Amino acid sequence: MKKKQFHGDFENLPRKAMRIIQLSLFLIVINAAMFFSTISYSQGTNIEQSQEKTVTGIVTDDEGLPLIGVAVLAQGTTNGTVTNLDGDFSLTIPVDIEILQFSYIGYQLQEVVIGSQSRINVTMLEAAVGLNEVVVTALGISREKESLGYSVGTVSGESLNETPQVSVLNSMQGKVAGAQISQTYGVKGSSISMVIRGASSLSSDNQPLFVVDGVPIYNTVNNQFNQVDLGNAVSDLNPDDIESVSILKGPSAAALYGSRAGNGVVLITTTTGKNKKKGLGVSFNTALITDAPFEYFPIQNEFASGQQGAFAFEGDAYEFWGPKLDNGFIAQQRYADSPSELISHENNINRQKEFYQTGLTQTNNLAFSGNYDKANFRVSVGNFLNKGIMRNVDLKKNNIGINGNMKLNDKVDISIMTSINESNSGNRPNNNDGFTTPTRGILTIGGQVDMSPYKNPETWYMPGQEGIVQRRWKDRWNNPYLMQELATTGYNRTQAMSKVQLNWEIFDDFSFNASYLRSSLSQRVETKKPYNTVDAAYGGYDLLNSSEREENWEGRFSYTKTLTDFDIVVNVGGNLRDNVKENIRNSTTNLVIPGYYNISNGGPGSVIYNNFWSQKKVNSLFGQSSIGYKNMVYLDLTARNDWSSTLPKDNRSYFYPSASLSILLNEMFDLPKWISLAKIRAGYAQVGNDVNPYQLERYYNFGEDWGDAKRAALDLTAKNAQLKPEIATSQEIGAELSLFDNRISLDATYYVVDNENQILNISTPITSGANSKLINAGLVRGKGWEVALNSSIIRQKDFTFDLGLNYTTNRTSILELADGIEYFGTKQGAAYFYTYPGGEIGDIYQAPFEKVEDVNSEYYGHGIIYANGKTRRVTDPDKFEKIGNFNPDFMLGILPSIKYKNFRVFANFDWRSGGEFYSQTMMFAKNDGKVAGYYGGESYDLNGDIVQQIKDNPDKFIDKWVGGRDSEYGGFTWPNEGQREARSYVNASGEQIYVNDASFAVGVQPDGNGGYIENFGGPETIWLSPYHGNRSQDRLLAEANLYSATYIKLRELTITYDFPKTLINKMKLQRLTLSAIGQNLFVWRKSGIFIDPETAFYSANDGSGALQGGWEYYSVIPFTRSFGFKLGAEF
Amino acid sequence: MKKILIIILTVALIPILISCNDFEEVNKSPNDVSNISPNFLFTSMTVNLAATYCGLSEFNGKVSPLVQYFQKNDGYQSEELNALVWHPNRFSIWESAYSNLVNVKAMSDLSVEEDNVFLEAVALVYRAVFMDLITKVYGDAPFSETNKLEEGIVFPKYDQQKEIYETILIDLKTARNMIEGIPGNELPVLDGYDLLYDGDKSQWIKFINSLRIRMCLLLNNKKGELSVDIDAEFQDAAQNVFTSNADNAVLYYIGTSGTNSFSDGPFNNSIISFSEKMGQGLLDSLRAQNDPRLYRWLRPVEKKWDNDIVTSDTIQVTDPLGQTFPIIRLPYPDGFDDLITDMYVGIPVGNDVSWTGYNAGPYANSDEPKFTSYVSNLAEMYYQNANDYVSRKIITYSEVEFILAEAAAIGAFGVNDAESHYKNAIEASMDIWGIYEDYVGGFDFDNFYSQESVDLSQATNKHERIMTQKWISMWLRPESWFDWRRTGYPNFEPPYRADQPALPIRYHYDTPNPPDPQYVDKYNEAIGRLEKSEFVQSTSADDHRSKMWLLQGTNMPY
Repeated sequence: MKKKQFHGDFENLPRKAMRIIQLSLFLIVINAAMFFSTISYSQGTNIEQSQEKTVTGIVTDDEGLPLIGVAVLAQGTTNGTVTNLDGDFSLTIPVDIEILQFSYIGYQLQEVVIGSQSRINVTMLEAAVGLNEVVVTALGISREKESLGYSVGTVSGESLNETPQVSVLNSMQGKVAGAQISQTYGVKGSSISMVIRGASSLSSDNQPLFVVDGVPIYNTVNNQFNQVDLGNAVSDLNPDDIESVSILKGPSAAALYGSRAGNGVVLITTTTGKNKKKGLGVSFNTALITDAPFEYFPIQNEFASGQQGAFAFEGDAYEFWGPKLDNGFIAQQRYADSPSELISHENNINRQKEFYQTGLTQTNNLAFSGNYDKANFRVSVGNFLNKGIMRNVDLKKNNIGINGNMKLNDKVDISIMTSINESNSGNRPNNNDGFTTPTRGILTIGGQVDMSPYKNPETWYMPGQEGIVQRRWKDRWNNPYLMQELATTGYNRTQAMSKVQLNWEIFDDFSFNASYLRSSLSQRVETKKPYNTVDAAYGGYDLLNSSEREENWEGRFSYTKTLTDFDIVVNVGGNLRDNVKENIRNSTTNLVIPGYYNISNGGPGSVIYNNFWSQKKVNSLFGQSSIGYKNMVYLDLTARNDWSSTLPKDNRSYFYPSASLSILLNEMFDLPKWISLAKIRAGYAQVGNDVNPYQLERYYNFGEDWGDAKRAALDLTAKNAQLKPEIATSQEIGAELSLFDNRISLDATYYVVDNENQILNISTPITSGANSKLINAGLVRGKGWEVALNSSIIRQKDFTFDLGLNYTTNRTSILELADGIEYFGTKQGAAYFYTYPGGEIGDIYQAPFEKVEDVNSEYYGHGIIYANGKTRRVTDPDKFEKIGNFNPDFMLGILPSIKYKNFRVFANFDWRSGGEFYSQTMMFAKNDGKVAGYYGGESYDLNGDIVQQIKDNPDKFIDKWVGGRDSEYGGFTWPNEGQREARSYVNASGEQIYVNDASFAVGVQPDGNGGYIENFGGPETIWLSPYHGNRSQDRLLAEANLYSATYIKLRELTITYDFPKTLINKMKLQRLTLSAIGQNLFVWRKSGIFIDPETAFYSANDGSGALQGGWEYYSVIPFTRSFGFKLGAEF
Repeated sequence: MKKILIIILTVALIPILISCNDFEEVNKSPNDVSNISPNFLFTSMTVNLAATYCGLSEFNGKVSPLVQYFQKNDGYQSEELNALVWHPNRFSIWESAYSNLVNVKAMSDLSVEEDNVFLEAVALVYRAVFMDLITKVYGDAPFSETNKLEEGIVFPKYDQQKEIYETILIDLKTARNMIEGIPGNELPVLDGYDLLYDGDKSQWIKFINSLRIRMCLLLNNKKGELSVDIDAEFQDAAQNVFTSNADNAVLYYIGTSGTNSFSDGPFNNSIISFSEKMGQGLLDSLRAQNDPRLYRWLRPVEKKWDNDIVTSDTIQVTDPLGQTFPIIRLPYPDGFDDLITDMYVGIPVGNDVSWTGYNAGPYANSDEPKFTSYVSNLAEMYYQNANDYVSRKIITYSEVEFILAEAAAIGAFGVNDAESHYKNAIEASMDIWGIYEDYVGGFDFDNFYSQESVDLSQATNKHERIMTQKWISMWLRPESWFDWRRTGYPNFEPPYRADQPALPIRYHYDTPNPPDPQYVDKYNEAIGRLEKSEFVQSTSADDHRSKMWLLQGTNMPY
């Protein structure tokens, strides 16, 4: 009883605190309003008359060229000006002012004692890179990097915008140590996964929290609708508006963000008018890029469609095991009047070339900025247009960003930020493997098919049945051209974020900060299906409107004190969060009027209505303090408590602390002069994580009505009313070194993250009453290194060469699971992505064939062949074999940059080394006989005795099949006369052609008496068609389709020309640059196969929204190279 | 100024006071319900029960090729289906049957809460039907420990088949008694929610009793081992079973969406590939006895080889049910000697290649025969979304009469007069298929019955005759498989080049998923109780030809 009361009181605590915060916030708003009302008249009376003098001068750079827009400020006042186009300034100041400050972005601050001078000429010196770097940390607090006890990755806006990319995430690829950023499908605009420090949660998508200027925003990977990837919302941000990105990698850095920070936080700071030139400025960027496909999936063009060699040509199958083309085989073909010889038409590569096209991307951005004494602002308008590499695929984005800051008086300033990002497309590519997918369809049409009627829109439909009956080359397949044009999924997404923030300096050291942060995402997506396609006889229309909204009310008190030896910062605050999500979906699979896409056109009884609404609230209290001693030692402590509505009452409150320490050895000891920075740091932190709403109680779902009767069924996922929050505990140590006048700087971190109480949806046998159950389980430990090394190899006046390296390695293993759970994972095709306690996440297993297990048998290790001539796989998981792991050994971003006079060259290499992936594309391509090189089984000496060859070299042949499509490719003559006859045909010249494609699976047949009969190609062999030989062996062993995931990509290469200042000054410009851009210029894969390992992702089908790594299915989009130009100007 | 401030303050405070967070309320799902009427589950369960049971032998099941109702002539894995090469987990009903049992339990719990004796009884019946189905398909199966996740049982043991039957046989009687005990003839169910009998009490009682006699007959070969007196059970039930087709437990398709339409109607299969072709054996039997049901189930070939013509032509053919079809006649091609010239052509049982080209003569190696068939397609109604003749039949009056006829013939359960039950059974089947309504000139049943191949009194093996006619009458229903297993009738020939020279007698268990060792242990325990037949090749007894308890020691079917 007593205990319960305690809980009650504890819960009330934040509520009271929240009220206080809300109240204070409210008071601040009132105050602000009062200030606004008084400003107008107080300004007039504020100006005091006093004695003044005028100072003039010219500001130049170290080359003697005038600098425009340098801020000149009388120290201790707001009285200032900026230099004009010739670098001249003139400032009238009170006589008692002693010092003038000159500041310019990228240059060191200069303070000049005026004395009696009335003319002051100043030479600005470029700021050394890396020194006193200021980074944005949690809650938007700017800190000197050297004072931090944890690792923060930063990417500057400049580096992000080297080449225009669809998404800021694309721009970050290879530029951040500790982050793995992968485009999940080979098309611009597809979802991009970002995983920081390895996937530590087993059940979520492991994506970090994205925060723009303090506003947490929505970002869903695996944003799928009807098997179409709509891309993630963070990709809608305007890269041109980004000033910098801070990546808070571990809980240490991110603990203040609470529940959602377990996977790290990406803090995006937008560009403001603050650091721009005084007065009004304009900047303009435009770029044009072409995306040219250059490498296509290598489909063979030698054999026709079919499963059974020449014996049976057609069938509804999609395999290419048919008769040899151009070899006299006569067959009746579809829509033909009479049988004719099968000949090859255009080759499949050309077919793909015809199907794909050169894409085009255009970006424009125009920004106005204003920087004044009391206020600054920036307004930016951007647009992005992409014509896809597939027909009828596009992507458009429009961005508007506004931010501003105004000092209401000396004590109070107010900031606003609002950004509206819209993206839309008339059609996004279907990235699934289904029959309807045009990218698969184009690879499935046999070489014997003349494509001309399928390409021409006028002959897409059967004559007289336009719009009703499709002309299709096979029953079960659609015309990919028709599908690309008419079966579309388009969307329109608007992401809006806004912030209103008020800073009130109550006393000198004590300030209050209140903000309202809101982000919303609304998306409308519709799928249209024409009549008479494979999965939609009467067409279909599917419409989903979804919206999400998050509101945060936040209040924070800050205390900053600098004593002689100590710097103290304390922040205490609270946050109220409210998330709401709503979906409304209507669909019909029965259009009354073909081609009229409207729900009201749905046939009677065929319209399905659905709606979904969810809400979640989280209340939080948090505190942070930082103590610095003599700029030598910094100690940071944070604490946060969250109360989440989605957890059971007794578990809903969770507390988590963090501590970090930074020690600057160079300040403590007298180190050699060439060491400019030597810092060691250590951090410890915990964060908690809650669950989605409604995970505590089991519900009934309504199904489709049966006539007039409602139907309901119990949700087959067992919920859990005792769920506890997940807790991630992280420890990290690191070092930063800066040597030789900052020519070499190194930042290295080692971390260990323990994830406990993970909320897992484990599968249970349906006989238990549910097919899955939510549990708290396990301990998952991730470890890794992140190293960033920057060096200036050459630093001369006209020539510099810098090299940046980002090294990332991570291993995550499961130490414990819950009682009764032996492993965690899923199965895909023949590969088992299982992790057992003690194993690593990403482990890949396979079920081997049943084998002769007696070590004394001469056939030890050979597969058992059954009466059908095929092997079988074991089902006992204890016998599974580990065959790989999909995580890389390391990733290395290599970023060289060269500057020669006015030219700059920048390159971005991305090297991922190690790890494997399971290619279902290759599995099916081999199974379907689509790729050359797989026309036969394991190679053997065609002139030798196969039985002897197998006996001599069993290891080469075990688990393999032997044979081929015909004797040329290793096929055997069918020993049985009947079969031999059956698998023959009469060719165009009237000759009897024997296909000779007998094949077999290597192994031994049990003779029933404990002995074995060889299935080695001798007389007792059970013969198979090559199709079945392949199918029974290569398809079933995951290992046969497991490939190295190692790759090196040249993601970006730019050559930029900065127009000389002398020239642009004449044009009254501040900056003018022209860049030649190349993207993805080369991609090297160790595997040697077509598939891009980066796209080895597949959307989980468990509803978790997760993307499963390590395997892919039909990633057959051609590789593209992009070339273009970018022009940037600033006025 | 101060006053204004206070007013604004007060106004601003109100929402803060109101916005007291009630987290419990926030975390209540508005999308789903946690407490509903058991009626809503009743409808779901009725639909699913009919679908799971009938699905075994419908176009997406594997039983019909086994009992040789139809053969697949193309389509996904048709070759393996025809050759009876079965794979674990493929076309399995394990998952669907057990997920329904979860809901049956929920329906039972809700009925108890609502004090609805009828739906509580229905839950018992449905549980018995699902368990009967599971155990006769797989063998021993989880039962007593199922649906106990809350109690911590994640991996239920596999109960012995004998014990399952002992429980569910009594459950059926209990359910019957519960329903009998409900006063009046109206059952407490929402209007329109009893999809089988619309709340008719007497029909429910007959339905349960009919299920009981079916189960008793199934167990007849093993009655010595049972603790339940199945003679008494049968006799108790047989007093009040189906008496006409009006009593049939049938669910009709509605045909307005994929869910409520037949599997090969346009909603579910936009590409009608006519891949099901009647097995030649059944076609021959129907033809031999001039069975008019042939015309209900089959349409003539679209293209017919003809020895008597030299140029092709089109003729109109009207069948005895008054349906007219155009048939293209083609001159018999040279160089072929095995083409069938009949108007109705089936496919021989089993094959090792695609039958697309069967009977297509010179067109065999092309894709043309699929669109102009040289083999008869099933009737049009099988490719419609809904048709009164194409329904999901759980148990019918005809089947009940066959059960009684068989019992009489083998001298079981004290049933007499095999012949009249047998006659009723066939007559009822003719009636279901609308033969009396549509037969041009009226259908003379006595004339039909008097044929030597039909008349029971002329049969040398009455049991076999009954079972053969039952097999025909049970067209596209899975019961024929269970009957054949039990009796060996009709004596199906193994398909040409089958995986084994014997037909499968059970489904392979679903492989333990998740493959947890605890699950595997329970599974291994169950397969330890299976008995390998002589046709089992694999090391594991979990095989399609292993004998479950029902068949152990019976020498049936082999």
